[in-house]
Amino acid sequence: MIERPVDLHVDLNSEDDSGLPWGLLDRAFAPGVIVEGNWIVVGSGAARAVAQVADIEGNVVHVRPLPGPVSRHQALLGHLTG
Amino acid sequence: MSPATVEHMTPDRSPRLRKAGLPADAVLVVRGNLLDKTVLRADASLVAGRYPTWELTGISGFYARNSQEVAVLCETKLDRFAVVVVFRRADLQAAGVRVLATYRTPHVTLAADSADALIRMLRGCPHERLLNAYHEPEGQEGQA
Repeated sequence: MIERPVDLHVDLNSEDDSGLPWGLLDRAFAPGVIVEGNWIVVGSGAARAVAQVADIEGNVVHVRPLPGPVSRHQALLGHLTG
Repeated sequence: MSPATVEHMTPDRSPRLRKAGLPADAVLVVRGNLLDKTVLRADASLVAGRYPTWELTGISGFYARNSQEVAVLCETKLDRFAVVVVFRRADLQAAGVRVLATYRTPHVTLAADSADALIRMLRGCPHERLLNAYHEPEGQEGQA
């Protein structure tokens, strides 16, 4: 299985006052999919997750990761992979 | 104390410090992932990118008071990590790492003057690696 690259680098240890992990829009590997409500792949190193873009505040992107492996939520990513 | 005296740093310039600080019995610090230099540097660069004028560099972690709280973190906030590392807070501080109570309990920021210093101190600090029993591996990868 070829591992899908992340769309957005997010340290899944991170939180801020939103209670959600976050990344930076200007560091996105796929900026075009970083849209509120979209499901994307986030992570850092070997840790990754499917997550919903919760909000974008300036350059900060908050995401809401789903539990479980990326493969379980592949259907949510369909609109991004065509 | 004068109302003009503000103990926490400006949120836009640095991670928000909790006024209550860390509880005295918060003796453990847990972080998902191994202490891989590349990952640590990349994660620290996110914090530096968000707070470019902050005089410190940091990465995220969580405090725990005992092994039961470590297990809860593994099940909830850290379930996406196959391995977590557990430090004793006193060991981190002895190594020179600043353990800052940031944002919402039990989040902490592990900070130092530079990413190089932070990575060196974290990797040199005694720690325990735990396999996360709550982590679900990706697909069938890793099977023969």
